[in-house]
Amino acid sequence: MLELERIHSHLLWIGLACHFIGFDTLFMQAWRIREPVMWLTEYLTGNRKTYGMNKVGGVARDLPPDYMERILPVVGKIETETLGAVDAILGDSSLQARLAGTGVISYEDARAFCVVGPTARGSGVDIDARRDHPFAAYDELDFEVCVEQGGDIWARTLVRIRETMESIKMVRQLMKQMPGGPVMAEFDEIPPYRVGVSSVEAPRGEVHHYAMTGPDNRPYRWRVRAPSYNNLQIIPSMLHGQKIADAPISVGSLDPCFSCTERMAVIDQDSGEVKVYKQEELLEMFKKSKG
Amino acid sequence: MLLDAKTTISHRLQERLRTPYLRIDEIREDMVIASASPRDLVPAVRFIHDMLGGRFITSAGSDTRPLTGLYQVTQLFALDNDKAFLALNVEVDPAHASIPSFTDIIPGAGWAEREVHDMIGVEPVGHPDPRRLVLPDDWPENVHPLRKDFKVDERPPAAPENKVRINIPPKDASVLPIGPFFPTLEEPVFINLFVHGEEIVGMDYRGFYGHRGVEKLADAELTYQQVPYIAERICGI
Repeated sequence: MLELERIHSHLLWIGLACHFIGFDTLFMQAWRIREPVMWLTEYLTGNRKTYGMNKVGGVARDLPPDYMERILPVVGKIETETLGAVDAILGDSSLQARLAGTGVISYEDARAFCVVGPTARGSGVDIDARRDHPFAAYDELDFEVCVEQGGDIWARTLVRIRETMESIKMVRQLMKQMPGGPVMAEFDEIPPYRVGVSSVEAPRGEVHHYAMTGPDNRPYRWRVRAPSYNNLQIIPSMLHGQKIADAPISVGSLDPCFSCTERMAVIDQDSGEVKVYKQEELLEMFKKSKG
Repeated sequence: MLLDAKTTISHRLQERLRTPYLRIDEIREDMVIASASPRDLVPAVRFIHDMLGGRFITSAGSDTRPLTGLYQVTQLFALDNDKAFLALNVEVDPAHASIPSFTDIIPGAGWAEREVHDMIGVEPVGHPDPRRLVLPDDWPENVHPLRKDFKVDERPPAAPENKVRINIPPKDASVLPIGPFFPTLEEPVFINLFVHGEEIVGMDYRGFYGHRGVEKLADAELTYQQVPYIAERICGI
C-alpha cells in the first residue's frame, strides 16, 4: 500500500511542480496517469485516500482474492505511461534550464537542518528508512535508494522519478513474494509506561512516531513528526539569494500565490513595529493623498 | 541468527556510548534509551551528533509529573549506520522549567525546541529564535496544552496581546507579505519575504494556523486502535 501511495504521491508532485512553472500539459498528463492508482486503492481498501488499513497489530482487512489481476495491469500501465512522461521531462531542455541550479540545498545544510526523504536524497544525503530502519517487509525486498548529488530542484525531480520506477518494481516483487496468513497478530494488554519509536519512509520522507504507553490500555504520550516539519525549516536557507520568481517552485508544495497579497507592510526599522495595510486602507490613503 | 547480529550491533554501540554525559538506561535490538541531566544535555547532544553520527529526529516533551513529579523532554536521534534509534531523556524540575538549547549545534532542532516550550512549557534557554511556534496568536501565556492538568476541551480566554511579531528584516530590505491564507492553498501559512529588489535576502515563517491538537486528543481520549486512524488523517495527501 505504501508503495502505491508513493507512486501516486510522486506523480502528484511531478504534476504540481510542472504546474508551478507553467508546464500545464505535463501537469494534466501526470495526474491522468495517477488516477488509476486511486481507483485501485479504492478497490483494495474502500477509499481513494486515507485508506484506514493500519491497526496496532496488523491491518484492517486482507487483500481481495483477485488482487493480482487487479494490481498488476494497473502498475504495468502506469509504468509505460510514466516512462513516456519521464521522456518528456528529461528531454525538455527548457524544463531542465528552469529547475537546475534553482532551490539549491547543499549537503551540509541538508544534514544540519535534518531534512528527510527526497529533499535529503536530492542533496546527496544517503538515507532511507526503508533500508536503514526496515519496517514491514522492506528487509525482504530488493530496491535501490535513489540519491542525487545536485541539491537543486532538478535533482529532487530525478530522485522522485527514479523512486516511482523503484516503487513499481517493489509492488511486483511483493506480488510474487507475499505469503498468506492472518492479517492481525494476537496480543495481550499493552503494559504501561513503555516507550517505542518508529520510522516509516512516507513519500515526502520519514514519519516518526514516539509513543509512551499508559494505563487503561491507552497511550500516555504520543508524539508524531511528519517529514515536512523538518523540510520546511530549511526554506530560509534555500531561498536566500534567490530571485522572487524562483520562490514558488522552490517552496514547491507550499506554493504561495503572490498576486493574492493585496496588502503592504511598513516596518519601522528602529522599533521593529510592523503595520500591515489592507487593500481598503491603501485605497483610502491614495484618496487622501490625491485630495 | 538475525537476533544475534542485532544484539551485537547494540553491544558495539554500548561500547561506543561510553561518555560521562550519558547514562544508558536500556538497550534493545534497535533502540537505546539514555538519559542526561539538563546540565549535560548540550555536551551529550554534541557527543551523539559528532561521535555517533546521530541524526536528530525531533523532541518529545511529556508531562510526567503524575509519575515522577518532573517533566520529561526526549530528544530522538536516528543512528542510521547502526540501524538503531537513540532516545535521550532529560528530566526537568517544574520549579525551573528550562533546558539549554542546542539549536546552534543542530539547526534542525529549532522548531522542535520551540514546540516543547509551547506545549509543555519547558523553555529552551539560549534559543536563537524563541518565539511562539505552534500556539495561536491569542493564546494566553503560561498555558501549555500538553500538560496533563490541561483538559482536552478547555478553552482558555483569548489574549490577543501575545501576537507573534515578525523578525526584523535586514536593513533596507522590503517586506513581501504572503498569506496567511491563499485561495489556491488548503493550508494557511504566513510567509514574509525580505527582498532587495528581486533578490530574496531573508524570510520569516509563521505556520501552524491549522493546528488541531491531535497529540492532545490521543494523550487524553483515544485508544490504541483509534490512534492509527487519526494519524492517517493528519495529512490527506
